[in-house]
Amino acid sequence: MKIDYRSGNSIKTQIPLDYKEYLKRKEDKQQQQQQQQQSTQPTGAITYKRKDRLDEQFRQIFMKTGIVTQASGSCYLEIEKTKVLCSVYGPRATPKTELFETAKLNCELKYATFSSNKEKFDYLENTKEKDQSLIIYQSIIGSLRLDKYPKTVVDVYILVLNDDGDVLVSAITAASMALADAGVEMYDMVASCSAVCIKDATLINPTAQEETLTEGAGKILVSKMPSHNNITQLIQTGELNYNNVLESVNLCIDGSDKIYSIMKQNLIDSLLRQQKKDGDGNEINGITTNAADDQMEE
Amino acid sequence: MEKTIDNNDSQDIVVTPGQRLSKAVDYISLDGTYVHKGYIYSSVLGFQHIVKRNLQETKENKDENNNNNSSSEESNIKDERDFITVSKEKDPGVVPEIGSIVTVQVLRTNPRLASVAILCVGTKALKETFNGIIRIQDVRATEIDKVEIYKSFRPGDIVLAQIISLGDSRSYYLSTAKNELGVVFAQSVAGGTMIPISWNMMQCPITKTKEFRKVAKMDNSIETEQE
Repeated sequence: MKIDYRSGNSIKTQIPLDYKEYLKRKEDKQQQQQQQQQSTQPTGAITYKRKDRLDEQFRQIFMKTGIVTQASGSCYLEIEKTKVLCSVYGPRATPKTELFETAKLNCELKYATFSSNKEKFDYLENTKEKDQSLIIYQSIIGSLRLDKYPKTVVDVYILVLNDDGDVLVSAITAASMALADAGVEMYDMVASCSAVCIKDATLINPTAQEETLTEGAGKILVSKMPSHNNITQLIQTGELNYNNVLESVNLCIDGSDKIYSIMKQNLIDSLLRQQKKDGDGNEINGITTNAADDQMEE
Repeated sequence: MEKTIDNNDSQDIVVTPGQRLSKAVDYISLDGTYVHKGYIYSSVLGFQHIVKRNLQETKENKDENNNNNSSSEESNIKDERDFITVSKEKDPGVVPEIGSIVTVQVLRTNPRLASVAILCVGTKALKETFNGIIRIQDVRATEIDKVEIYKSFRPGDIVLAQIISLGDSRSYYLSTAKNELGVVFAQSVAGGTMIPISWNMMQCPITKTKEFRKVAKMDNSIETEQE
């Protein structure tokens, strides 16, 4: 059994709060809890009102590929305060001797020890990380052409630098981008989106605060390959009625499509940037991006 | 075989994985693309290249005439279509395939086989090496029963070999049973780069000692094959 000696004497880096502020926060929290209890007790559903954006509005998203120079492909993705770094190594030779005809995909998600102030993360992999790694694995494996790389391994490492909700969505999107950046052959890129269903609204792309406030409410996560219109992963947690499921899945599909277009544009830009860096600046003038996808419809 | 890429088309188009390129009846899909439900899609990020049929025919006329004699009807239909490929300047994963000529370095030998590390596939260097073995029966084509591994390869030798099978789970199986395959670079005990003097002998220029090797016959034929 692995024993982590470091976890026993971890350094606590919490900044002491001003006492008055501390009291105020405590009161606020109690009030919030009371409100929640009041609202949940009679109706059985959670209510929450979004202030800074619309319910079906996605947070601002930023991504950049090729930032880990040692990896074959990498992607840094930010959805406002959620920050995720994904690096892909491979296809490289198998260290062990198991699989044969197709490449093996390895997927590992790790929360940085400083990523969240609610939860404490060790150096060891905990069950939450294991579960989420599996979900990411399932989401992206269908999109890859692993039969092209016999006897090899593709390693995907995802590091969550800051957790402000919707980590899975960011991780799946970043992983797909990093794989595309690494040049691993795939059928399509995977875009992902999630939503929380509460009593009178469906909140897309929830923040960490929203996630904790709506704990126990129904949640939907959709990953899809937009150009084939295939859903690679659909996860529901919590109780939802039929209409809620329908609505939130549709919202998530729309959201994924929007993320997909951002991913595409980003990859094209990164390739052109790379070409420019390589020196032959004249060639770029002749290059145009293809909009044929939009024109051709079955 | 690499195809000649027609760069005269001034509009090189950047495509992303999963992007639909054309109908499957218009082109023949090559590297970096795949066919799904009658359409050709890109499977990597890169530039879309159309490879013209005529250019190719002049280069590979002989090959096609030899190969496609039997299936003449099929080739007639195919002849009208150009090829389509997607490629990026920095391409990471070259993976050894059956039949490809590889450059390997000998790591260890034992009486039954030589274990090697695959360094290059064709003319492309691998980022990370793959393991392979050359079994005693695959060292040369004639007098297989008289082959001795230590008279064919020594650790450190650079060898040209062909992949004959994906092998067991641990390593590829390689063969040097051709005149143009075998040791291309070897150092003697004294440290000098040895000079081949016959098909199974190399000589050290410093000490003039002769050592046995399965020497590759280096001439132009192999270079053209790789290009």
